[in-house]
Amino acid sequence: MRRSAVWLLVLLLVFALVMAAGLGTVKIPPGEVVRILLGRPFGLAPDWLPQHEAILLQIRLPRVLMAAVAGSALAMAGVAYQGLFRNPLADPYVIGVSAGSALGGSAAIALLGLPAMAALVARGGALIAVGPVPLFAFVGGLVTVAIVYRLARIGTGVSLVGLLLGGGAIGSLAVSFVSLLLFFTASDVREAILFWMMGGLGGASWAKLLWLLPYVAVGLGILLYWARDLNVILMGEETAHHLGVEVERMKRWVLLAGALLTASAVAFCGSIGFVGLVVPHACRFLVGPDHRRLLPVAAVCGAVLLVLADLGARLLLSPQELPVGLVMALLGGPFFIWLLRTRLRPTV
Amino acid sequence: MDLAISGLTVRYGREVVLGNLSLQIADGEFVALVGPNGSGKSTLIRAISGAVPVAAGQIEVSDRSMAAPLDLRRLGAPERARLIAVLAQETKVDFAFSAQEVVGMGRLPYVGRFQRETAADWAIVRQAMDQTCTTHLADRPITALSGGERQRVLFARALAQEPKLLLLDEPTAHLDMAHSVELLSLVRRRNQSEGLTVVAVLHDLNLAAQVADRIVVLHQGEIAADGAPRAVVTPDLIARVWGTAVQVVDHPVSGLPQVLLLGSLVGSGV
Repeated sequence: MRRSAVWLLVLLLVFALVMAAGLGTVKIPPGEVVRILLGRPFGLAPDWLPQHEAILLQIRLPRVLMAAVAGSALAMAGVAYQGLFRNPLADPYVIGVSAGSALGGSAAIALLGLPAMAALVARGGALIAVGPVPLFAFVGGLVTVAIVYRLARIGTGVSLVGLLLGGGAIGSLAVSFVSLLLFFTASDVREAILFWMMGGLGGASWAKLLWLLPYVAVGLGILLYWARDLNVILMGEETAHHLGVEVERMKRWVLLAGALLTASAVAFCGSIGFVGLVVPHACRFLVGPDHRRLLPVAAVCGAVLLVLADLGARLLLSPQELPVGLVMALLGGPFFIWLLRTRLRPTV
Repeated sequence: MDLAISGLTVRYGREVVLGNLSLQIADGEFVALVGPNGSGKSTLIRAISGAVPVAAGQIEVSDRSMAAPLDLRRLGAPERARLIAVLAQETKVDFAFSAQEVVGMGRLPYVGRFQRETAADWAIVRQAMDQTCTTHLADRPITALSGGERQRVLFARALAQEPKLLLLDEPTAHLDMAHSVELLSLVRRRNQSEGLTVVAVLHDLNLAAQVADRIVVLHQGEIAADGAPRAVVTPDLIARVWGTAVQVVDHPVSGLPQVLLLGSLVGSGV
């Protein structure tokens, strides 16, 4: 039953990708999407409009694929943080990592300035130019999570209140530093930062997707390496030690992987909350808490969720486009409140 | 497995919790560690298991299968987990692993990364559950079990590690009488049938006297008494270490010493 659920999810992802690639201001029927995609490798005679092919390959496809990859990155980051903090309320957004990444990325734009970016574009093309922002976002996220972890740690445990308060405090501190940055930068740089921070998947491109992939692949690899240890850490750090887990080493690696995954999503898609919160819960319900199953399943579910949320963002007020982060917040906010209410009963 | 501790010192900050402590435990012994609150008994267990840093001293284990005594402090966590298992006070678990998955975690020191447990691993898991009367709980989520059931499952996990030394840290602290007796008799059975060496911190002196071959009394980080229950459990020692007046009588069935409280509670008309 569990295995068939996984295959069902993969099918669902393919379905969502094809649908999302076809829908928009210009509608391309699903059959045509599939024919265009298979057209080149299989040498099909084009019976579709060339504009459709251009829209699909240049705009829609990189966009839905980026949504999928970013969604799985955020979902896996959520799984990692919830496991490490032994707390079902942890997620990159709630514990402030997203804000830290946003600060890092803004700092990259502000420090390098637009002329440097322009020079990068001139010398190496768009592929090189998008590099520094995710790198700085990664560093920002990593520093944030390390600070929040220190703050929330009491004795050998990580307290729920400390985590939420610390995440909130450090997150808003990061946000105010971003405002400070904006205050001191020239207007064109400020605009560039604001545009980047608004995020969304509107600026998706194959170059960005190429940059996103290695971050996500490395993050996933690290988490799968520590998957069985993540299971055991849920029983407490001392118990994990007694069962043969090298706890301190593991914590460092998992924090690193979570920051990598969060930063990659934030750097290319802006701050998108709640994916890392909603998806791990839904997936635990589906396949249980074993991280060796949970991680891949959450990756697929996160992809589906963000592809659909982005589709909603494009269609709800079409031809106007909503930020995908807003759509996720509308979906995730109520879920988070429900979770808080059920988790924070006096017995817990 | 023999355990030899010599000159062990553990500090929390500036406070010395264990001072220059030496203790030999022979293969197959069931040793109870008792003492008042803050006497360092849990710290001793955690020093052996490597959960707290050791300031000075040596902790060595030796076995017929080993050429030379092994310094526990030099072992990595996985190697140590193949020799020593720990069953602590009941801990709350928020994540709904099934009982069998929890016991399966005991195989972690044996299963490589990116690998799954083999049929042999699951056979060991089933045997451990069988020995702890938890087979019928296999598919139940750990979060839904009662305290007594949960401790038996965690004991099964400890057995699945195939340890040569079992450390217990007040495993019955949150259990009622029936479940305490049940758990300790299961431990005692593994000790007697397989010669599993057991070192157990126990709060209840009467329980310790019933179940252990030997009682070590800790007081302010040092050993105050060490010997068979009959030699150790005396009104004098208890008055000296715990500071309370008791009477010690023989258990009518087992003949082992049992402590009766005196002090201000008795005869005060409460």
